[in-house]
Amino acid sequence: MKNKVKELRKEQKLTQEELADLIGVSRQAVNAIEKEKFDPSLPTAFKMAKLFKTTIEELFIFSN
Amino acid sequence: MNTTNKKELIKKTTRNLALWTLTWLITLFIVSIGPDMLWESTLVTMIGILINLVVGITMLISNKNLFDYYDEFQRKVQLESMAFSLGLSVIFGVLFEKIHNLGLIDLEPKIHLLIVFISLTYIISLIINMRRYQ
Repeated sequence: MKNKVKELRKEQKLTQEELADLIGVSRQAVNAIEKEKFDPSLPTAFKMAKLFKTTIEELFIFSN
Repeated sequence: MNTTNKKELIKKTTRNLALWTLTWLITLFIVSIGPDMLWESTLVTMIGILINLVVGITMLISNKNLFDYYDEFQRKVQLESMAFSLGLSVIFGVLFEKIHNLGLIDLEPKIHLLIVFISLTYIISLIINMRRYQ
């Protein structure tokens, strides 16, 4: 699934490690999400959206 | 639980798991050689087997605790690696026995070979999976 995590993280001047700490996952998880190799769970997606003050639909772009 | 605490817990539980695995291997080794080299009593052998069983169960619980502390990504990587290792072990385990029964190889299919095979395939698939997602 495509996403804007990397873009928004850089806007907030956060490192992958800092973002991982804020949402309670490992740095490897953030890296895999940013590279669109791993889709996060709904709670993690909500945490990210809340942190970036956006919606899940804005953050993650669903495509078949 | 904050992330720093979680990281510390993962480190601590990993150390515990390594310690219990080592203890399990040592007790298994002692139970294996004990009746021939260290003692003659069946009671001591039974106690040794019981200790090995208790340590084995503790190792299992320690592994379960570690899994509970993993995040969703780490669990996915672990599960995929375990599934791959289990699948390969079943396929090659059964095939190995059939080949042996047909008389094509002399090497007997023994449990320790299976354990080595499971361990190696698990470690290799874990490394591959970690790289695949990076």
